[in-house]
Amino acid sequence: MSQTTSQAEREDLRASVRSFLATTSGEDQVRRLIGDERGWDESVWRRMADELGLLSLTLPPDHGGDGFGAPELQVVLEEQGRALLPSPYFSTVVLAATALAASGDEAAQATHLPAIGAGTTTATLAVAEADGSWRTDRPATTAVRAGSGWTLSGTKQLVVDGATADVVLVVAGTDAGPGLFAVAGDDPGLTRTPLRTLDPTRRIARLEFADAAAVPVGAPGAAGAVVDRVLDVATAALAAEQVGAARACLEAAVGYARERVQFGRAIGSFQAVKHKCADMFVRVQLADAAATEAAAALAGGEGLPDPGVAAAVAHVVCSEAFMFVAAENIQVHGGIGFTWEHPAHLYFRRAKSSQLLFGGPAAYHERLLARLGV
Amino acid sequence: MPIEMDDFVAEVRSFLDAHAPRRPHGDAEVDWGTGIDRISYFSTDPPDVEAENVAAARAWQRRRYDAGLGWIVGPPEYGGRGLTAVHDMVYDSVEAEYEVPDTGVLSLIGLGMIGPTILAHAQQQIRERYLPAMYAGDVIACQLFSEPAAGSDLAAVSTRAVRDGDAWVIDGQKVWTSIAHHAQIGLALCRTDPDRPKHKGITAFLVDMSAPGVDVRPLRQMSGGAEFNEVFLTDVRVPDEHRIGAVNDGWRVALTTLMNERASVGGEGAGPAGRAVSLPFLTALLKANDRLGDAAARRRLAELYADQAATEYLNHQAVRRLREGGQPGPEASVSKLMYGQNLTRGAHFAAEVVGPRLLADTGEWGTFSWTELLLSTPALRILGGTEEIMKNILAERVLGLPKESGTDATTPFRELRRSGGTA
Amino acid sequence: MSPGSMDTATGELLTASLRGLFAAPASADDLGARLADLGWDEVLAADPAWATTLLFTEQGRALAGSRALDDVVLAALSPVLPPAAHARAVLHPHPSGGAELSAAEGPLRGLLLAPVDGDTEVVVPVATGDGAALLTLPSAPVASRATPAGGFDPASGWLLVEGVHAPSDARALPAGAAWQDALSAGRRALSAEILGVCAAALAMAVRHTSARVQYGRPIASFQAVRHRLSEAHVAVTGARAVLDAAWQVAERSDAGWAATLAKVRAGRAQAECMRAAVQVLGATGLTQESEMHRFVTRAAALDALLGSRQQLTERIGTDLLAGAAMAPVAGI
Repeated sequence: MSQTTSQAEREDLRASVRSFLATTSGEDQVRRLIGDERGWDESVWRRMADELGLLSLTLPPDHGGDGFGAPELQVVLEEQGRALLPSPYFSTVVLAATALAASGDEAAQATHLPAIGAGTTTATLAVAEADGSWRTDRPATTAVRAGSGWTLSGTKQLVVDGATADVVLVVAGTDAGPGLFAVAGDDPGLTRTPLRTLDPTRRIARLEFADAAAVPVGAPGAAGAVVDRVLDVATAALAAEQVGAARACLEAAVGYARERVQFGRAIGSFQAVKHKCADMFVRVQLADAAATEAAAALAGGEGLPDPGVAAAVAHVVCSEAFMFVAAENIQVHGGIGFTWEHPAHLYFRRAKSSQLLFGGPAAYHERLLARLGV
Repeated sequence: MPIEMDDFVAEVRSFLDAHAPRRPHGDAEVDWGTGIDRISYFSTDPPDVEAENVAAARAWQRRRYDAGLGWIVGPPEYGGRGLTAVHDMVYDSVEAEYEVPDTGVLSLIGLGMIGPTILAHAQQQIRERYLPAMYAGDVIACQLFSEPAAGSDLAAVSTRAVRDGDAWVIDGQKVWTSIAHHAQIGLALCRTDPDRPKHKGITAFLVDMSAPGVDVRPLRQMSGGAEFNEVFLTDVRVPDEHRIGAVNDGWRVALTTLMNERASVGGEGAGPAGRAVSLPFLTALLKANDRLGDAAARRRLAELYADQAATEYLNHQAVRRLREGGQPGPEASVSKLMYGQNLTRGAHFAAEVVGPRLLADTGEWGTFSWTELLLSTPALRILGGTEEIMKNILAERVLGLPKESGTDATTPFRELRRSGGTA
Repeated sequence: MSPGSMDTATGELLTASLRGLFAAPASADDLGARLADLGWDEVLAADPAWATTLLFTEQGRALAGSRALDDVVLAALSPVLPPAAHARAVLHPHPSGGAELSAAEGPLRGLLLAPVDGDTEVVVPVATGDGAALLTLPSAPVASRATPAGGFDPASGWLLVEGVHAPSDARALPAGAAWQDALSAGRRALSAEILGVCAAALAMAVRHTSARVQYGRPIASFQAVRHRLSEAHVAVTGARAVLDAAWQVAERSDAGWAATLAKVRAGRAQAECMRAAVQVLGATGLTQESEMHRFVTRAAALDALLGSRQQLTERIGTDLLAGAAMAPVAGI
């Protein structure tokens, strides 16, 4: 059972993350990292581990973690989304650590989780192949026994932070069905190619494996269940990030509408602008409610919806809301919002990349219906 | 003495167990093609059934009142229990588990909005006369606010009240008054000083609906029914003690009423219309029409459900926050906007699945019956505050955007530009 | 409206005459007689696109009912029908099936624009193994199975017909391509009628919002209202452009495609237009005293005739996915 916090404690956590990011992930820093080869700041990462303890926050206590759950993760990710922090947090703490925890593999957890929590190891999860979908049923990537160990071959696409991760967890086909394997980021059999990205604040790479040394994680052929669990946690976490970023767009739009004067009055006094802001607000409130409910449901408790349903609802609602708000923010800003210098496009890019990360509308609507048994 | 919540819940349960059966547990299975083929948002009962329902509502309210549960937040000297809004909410959530008569005809306007207004602004003898009677289910109250030329701009009411000795004489027309045909009293906003700005020349009165000169006529809606009324007031005499609040201070009285309206909105998901656009029902509709494999229809179904679920989550969280001692936020406005949108989209989705069979009653179950809901959906974006006004309120009060500049709030009412009588 | 051979003065005169004609209440058959008095046949012959669009636009604007759609369909079928000995009416495809035809062997079903009696012959398009064919039936067996369509738009005067059996000696005349032409002609006419209803609804919305004062100013001066009406206007104008383009290719092989697109666009425009118009009328528009609900229901009913916007959109999509050539519509 995970540690729980009160609303007030979560607000304290929020305040400390927000003030940290205000000094470490301002617009200037984000723009500098966009031009950086690595794409994220190692010193900030270290401070997130050492000063704020964010990397171990949600890891299991048996492996150096603090044992908190989805509601606390929600706060951290909302703030990261708000600041568009470029960091391997999502790939390492959300995707890889959840996969390790869900695998039930104590040895793998003991190997990787303490280092993740300490900020000395980053990791990611590689599932998608040519079509970009997060299906696990028939991966073209395969793993075979080689002597006492395993080797893994094939190509994984759209791997978040794949070019920098120290450890890559890979879904690969085996005789027993799709299994999960760990491959070292610097394995000689692994070629990593950073790709040009729609969203420069979230790095993506192609990983080509040629007889790379691989260590099985969890039971043979059990990757399907692990990825299912990861998707519940990760879509809920992504939803939180989307809410934080969407709220930043709303605040930017409202601030601008209050200040910008045309025809002798603040543009926010015109109904067309005013109602746009109200529509944005409604969508953000709804998204917030969906992300909060998903986090609460994942943590467990009375009177809460099924976590799989709530996570799928949050994924749909928050993806749509962030996309809507990011676009309307540009519209409220008018011409200035369309310039490279204005941050609005960075949020627009993040909105679209987040919406499509796990397959996009075609996948998330069906995922929700599947969770509902329709 | 505040009562412990656990004890209160136990008391409520024992009251309900003694007087009402439990609602069957879980979501009722959708048995497509059987049962009454009617999906309506507004009541469409024939008058005799409607009268029976009103009688049942009064009887149930009387039972609650006798058990000390008729007015949970009200002060004991007027028949209330003196407990908190949270107790009230808890009562509602427990009662929802039982099959009890729908008391909306009493509670939505009268007990929810007019009662608190009388309590806050009326003279003592009026409070004593009406409050216990209202909460005991004997007196039904309606709200005589909107007029043909004062809809969104409620402060532009032009129904006149003129002083005549120790009474007032009221003349004018009110519109969109629900339940006026069942009500014994109505709270009317009247213009008492047209030389002052519009918000500052209004006075509120409690009108006896059976007084000479009060004429209630049904107003037929585009969906076919007549849930609402027009009320014509011709030389209606109202004693001064029925004045609610000070002369020309009626706008403040109206705000009390309207604020209680917003507080009462929210958990509207149930009801026949809500059930019709729920996932199980719409899934059954798709299945019956062999469209369950249709990718476009599936996608819209998922979108619909996601918004419905998120709206429900929003309501749950608002309730949880209140129970934990938090303050109500803007959830009610958001949820009201979403409620209308969700129902509208659900009705249009169903209409699309049914297709042209919506045009004429071919007798096929579950097809033509959607027309009534469909034709009611425009009302969801208009009645009880148009979508535009709700957005103004959200943008100005929550987001802090500037008001549209204008002089209508400072100009004497007499000089204001107004619509013609019925435009 | 496409530029036609009518000069402006004649055009205005005819428009005014049509408005007067539709303004007076009349039965469908009286309207036909009055149109004949107006010399409509000559106008139609001189410029079919202009005349048809004008006639149906005005009929929509006035929420009138006539047999004009029968005439349009019958004109397109004339190459395969023997000369008429009596008045003719058409049993249009039943709206619940879109443009789907009853099987020739029956039972037949469909929609009549107005009651039939006496010597009137009812032309019934039916499906056979070799494509569309035409049955011609006496009025009595059809009339006996007809009931007022009622329901959503009782004012339409339409009748639904179910369960008619053709006499055993009835012979279905192969219609060849003529039925497709008739469908296209009917869809162009209906598009104009839908857009006429929209124009009237928008005009009412503009009148109302200009006259209605709230907060000391006409509500039409509030952006929320103005923008909604502008968007509706854009939808209607766009649909009209597609309709004009459909007329330009009316004699070409892709006429059917263009007419279908025009009907889809008109259907969508009415949905958007009615939504906007009802909303800006506020509570006034919700009452039955307001004319608005009549526009709403008529536009929806017309949308459903000869294939609704949803049915036709699906049809277009299916055809495209099956590899149909995407014919560009002239002028767009």
